[in-house]
Amino acid sequence: MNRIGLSLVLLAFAAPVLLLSSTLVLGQSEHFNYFIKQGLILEYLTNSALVTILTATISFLIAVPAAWWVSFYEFKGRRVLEWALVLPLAVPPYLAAIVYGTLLEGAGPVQYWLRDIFQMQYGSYWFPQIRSIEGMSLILAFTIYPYLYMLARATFMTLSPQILDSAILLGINRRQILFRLLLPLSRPALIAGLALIIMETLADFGVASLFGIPVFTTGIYRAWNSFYDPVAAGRIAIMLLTFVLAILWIEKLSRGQKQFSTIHLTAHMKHWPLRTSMTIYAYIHCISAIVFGFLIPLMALGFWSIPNLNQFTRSDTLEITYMTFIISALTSFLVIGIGVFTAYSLRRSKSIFVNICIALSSCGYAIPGTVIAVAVLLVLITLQNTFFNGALILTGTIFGILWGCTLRFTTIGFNTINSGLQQITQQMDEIASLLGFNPISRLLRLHLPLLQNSLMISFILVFIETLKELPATLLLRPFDVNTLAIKVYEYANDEMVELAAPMGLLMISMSIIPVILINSKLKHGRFNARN
Amino acid sequence: MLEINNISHSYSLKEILKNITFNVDPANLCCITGPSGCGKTTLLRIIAGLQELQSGQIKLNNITLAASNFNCPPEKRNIGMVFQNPSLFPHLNVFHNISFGLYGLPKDLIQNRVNYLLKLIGLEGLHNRYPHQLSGGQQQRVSIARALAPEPKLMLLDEPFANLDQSLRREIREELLLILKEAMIPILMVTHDPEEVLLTADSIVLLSDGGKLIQTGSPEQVRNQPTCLEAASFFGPTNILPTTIHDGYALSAVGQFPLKSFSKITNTSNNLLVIRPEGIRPALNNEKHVTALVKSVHRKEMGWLIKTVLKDETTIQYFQIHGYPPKNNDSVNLAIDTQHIFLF
Repeated sequence: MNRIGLSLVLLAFAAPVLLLSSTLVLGQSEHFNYFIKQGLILEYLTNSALVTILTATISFLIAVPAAWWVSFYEFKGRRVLEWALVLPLAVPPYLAAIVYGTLLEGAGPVQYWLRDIFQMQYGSYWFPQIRSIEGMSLILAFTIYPYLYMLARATFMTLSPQILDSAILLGINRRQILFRLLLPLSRPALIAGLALIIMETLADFGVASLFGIPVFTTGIYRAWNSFYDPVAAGRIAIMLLTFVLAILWIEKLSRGQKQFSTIHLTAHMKHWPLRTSMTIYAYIHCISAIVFGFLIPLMALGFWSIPNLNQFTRSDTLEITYMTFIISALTSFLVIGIGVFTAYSLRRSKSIFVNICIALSSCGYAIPGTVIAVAVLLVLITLQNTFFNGALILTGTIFGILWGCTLRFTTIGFNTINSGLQQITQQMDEIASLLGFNPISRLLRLHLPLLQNSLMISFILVFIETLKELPATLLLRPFDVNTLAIKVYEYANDEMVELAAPMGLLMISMSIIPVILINSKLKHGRFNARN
Repeated sequence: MLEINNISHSYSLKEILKNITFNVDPANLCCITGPSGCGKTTLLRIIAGLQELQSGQIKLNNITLAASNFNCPPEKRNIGMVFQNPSLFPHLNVFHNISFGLYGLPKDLIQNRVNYLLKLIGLEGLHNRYPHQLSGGQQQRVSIARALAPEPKLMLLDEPFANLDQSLRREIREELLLILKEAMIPILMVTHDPEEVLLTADSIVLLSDGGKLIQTGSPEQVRNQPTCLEAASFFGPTNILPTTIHDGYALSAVGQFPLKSFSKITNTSNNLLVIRPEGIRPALNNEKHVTALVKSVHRKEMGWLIKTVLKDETTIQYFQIHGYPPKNNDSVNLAIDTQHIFLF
């Protein structure tokens, strides 16, 4: 039973990747040569690389100083900034792209206002072009820097006060503490955070597509949607995948054999006072990150929604919201099911088979949504052609979206559930059984209450990620299925920002509300009372 | 009464336990002890049912818990167990941790039982605390109360005091073992600390490397009549000297001893003489003695352990309790107390 389940998981994860790889050697592609001859592949490569480097650099410059200030210094409003810096995560990059694209374009309000003040004609002055590689990188950096910020902050917090005290007693000043102690110590976490940023950047489809910047993901979409050429799409997807795996490999390599022990905080860190001049700088830094990454997009979307308030109550909006909810919730349940199953399998046996399953299912998050979509589509179409004479039995349902999103987000579920499960030590299980509890009552009375948090957190994380996921849903959806993300993208593509705005607002609120709910539950519940 | 009959156990062909047999009476504390890796914990886990019995038999109060073809699952054995790590359930407060095993009983019964146990372990008023709000010693007390709550028929302790610091360990050990003995059930404790064994045990099960039972009996029996070299050296450092038997005498570097002075001669090869450091003392005037050169002096809790060498380079260590210790390179005359000598 266990083996059959694991084999199914293995198949669900391995089949798409295998079929994707097969496009390298099998199949005829009419258009792949076109991509090469036109120099498109090279363009994708340079653009993707440029965007990646720029986004990673800007994110680092935003996230690490912010984490340093809020972790080690005390100033008014520090606590608010501490969590507010995470808010931009609620804004999917393509929403920010819609907002800034509209605000900063030639006909947009900002340039209009500037012309009005300085009495200039359009074209007679220089203004930075937002629909550019630099613009795309800025938008990505301001919306995804929180990944790095959270990891940096978490490592800074694990540093024991004793280490800091001994460094200070050795006569080291604060700047040196940052550069000689903190950054080297937290290097693995920072590199992991940067790798996450790079992965998100490479996976981005929305911003690149809306700004018309040719990168790998838009190339894959073009090969599939404009040329209907699965083999060409598969081959470009493989190139992107290689790019991503190379980054992952570098990340692994940089960790090397070194052991960076994480020290658990015994006493609470004492925060140093911050000089007034530095406080002002820290405020400007942190607040602008929140303003550009969260407040401006939110306010602009709100402002544009005002004339279209009736959109919220229209039946098709409700239908799309309902569909989005269903898809996100079903994906979350699937992910949790697989996560619980694999985590328990790992607890029961550490066999190679189980480990392969877990390793395979955990690379999903690194694989861009477009790549996963193409891989899943290849499998679905092959199945349809072999078993159903090409009838749209599978691609005509939301099965594909569910499969694709599950593949992509299983890591989140597994990691959360597995770390929750690890808190239930083998010994606790043994003690409960000695106290007269059989396996089923142990599950109900010990595991479920202790796992409750992890299950809830992974549900919400996967729910939000699926809600925001654009390329996988866009490629995998049947003709009549729309999600908020797809609709926002379509409206924005058709330059109907005022129609995209209410949907965007709905998305942001759908992802923020559960976070606030779980946060308050975690804060007030007794479960934060953990050792 | 707990009866262990002929238990053997092996992991993938490697024998962990070999023909272990012993009994523990109610209200008696039996210490299972021996070098690390001798299978102490495995034995305890087999008795608890956490590991399947391979061969042999376990009986508790004349009911068979496990035999070669029958294994009662741990949840049906009614055995309490306390581990080195308190492993309290982090999501439950002290009250609910203790009452965890009382599931299904009437509320007032649970209330009474928990209150009684809280009083017993001296943590009244802390029933609302969560595990992370307790000190290590308090956590271990709660885990003992949790194990005692369902009124087990046998209590197993797996190095329960090893995680506590020295001063706390003694205090809590005495207190808790007294509580456990009041339950009038057999108690089986795994420990590797000879001092703990000497201070607490009513009986000892001494295992050797490879899981062989070396000796059982009271601490005094094992100390005064060790049956082998390992048993003799368990309680502390010893002097081990080669010896030959000649004409009813054992001859060695520290003198010759009549065979009849040994309390018990085991049927081994009789070529080793074991002398405890406390069996050697500075000689009185005119007493028979050997002369030795002091190499080092180590301060102990009571007195000094003094390491010396004889003329033929044999090293001898002895305890001195009174007066002032000798200095390095002093020459000392040592007399030997025959009741602390064993021949193997």
